[in-house]
Amino acid sequence: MSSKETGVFNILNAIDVGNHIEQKNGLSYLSWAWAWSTVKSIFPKTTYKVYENEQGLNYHHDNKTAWVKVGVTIEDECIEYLPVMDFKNKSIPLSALTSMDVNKAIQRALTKAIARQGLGLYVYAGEDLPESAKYLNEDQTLELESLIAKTGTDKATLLQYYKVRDLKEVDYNHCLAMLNKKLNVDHK
Amino acid sequence: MLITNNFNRFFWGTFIKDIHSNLKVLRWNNIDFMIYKLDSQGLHDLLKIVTFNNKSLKEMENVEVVKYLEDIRVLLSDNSFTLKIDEEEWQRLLRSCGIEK
Repeated sequence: MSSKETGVFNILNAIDVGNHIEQKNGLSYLSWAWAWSTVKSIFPKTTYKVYENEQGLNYHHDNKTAWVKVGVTIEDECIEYLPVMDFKNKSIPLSALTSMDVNKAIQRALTKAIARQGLGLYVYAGEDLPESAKYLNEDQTLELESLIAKTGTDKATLLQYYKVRDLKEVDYNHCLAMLNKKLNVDHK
Repeated sequence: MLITNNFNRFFWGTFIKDIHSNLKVLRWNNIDFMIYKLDSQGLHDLLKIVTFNNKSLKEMENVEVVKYLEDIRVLLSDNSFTLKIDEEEWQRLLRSCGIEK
């Protein structure tokens, strides 16, 4: 991966998408319109492409179900394949497919392709939202406290790293991963 | 501009370090960037983007470097963030780097 690619990814991945998450059927979604406008405002030359099949249709199929193929290019292209699904996230049979279903799949694939470029990737990774105002619960805090003790980490330095005053304010998933990594290294 | 050791000390050691260490979130165009997720180079890349500057420091003329730094100060000010160095020190550092206004 070139340094330019890394730069694009790191910058997009540093964006707090917490206020732009939509919940549907218990799953988190990023608004495609917000994701696209955000990427374009930072990297104006960004383009996207909906790949058509050999018949010129904006979806692909295997005679049973269908999927869409969408690419987003910033420095390099990231391609996302997404099945055309219903509201239960089940593939829609080809015979029941509507243009609206395909359109929705294209929008979702576009957002996921943008996520591959870095924006809101943690939403798809199932991570917690890193909102600065969101505090950890007691169990999470105790877990981190325990790992801090086990790894001999200086708590003050850790808080300084996250620029917070209390352990409850740190990015839980990031901190947990970092401490676990340190624990594993120490054990080796 | 010619990148001297003095300039590197000022830019990376004082300017970028201050922002990186003390600013948690940078808001630009209603987008919140979590600064702690970036390293120093990433922060510099971001600052170039949000100040619409696509040249590297080496490619910039002295006057462009000063404008770049001033644009960042304005952006930081919009984010209610003030660099630790005061105006007098700022001017002294710019002079020592050979990038006087």
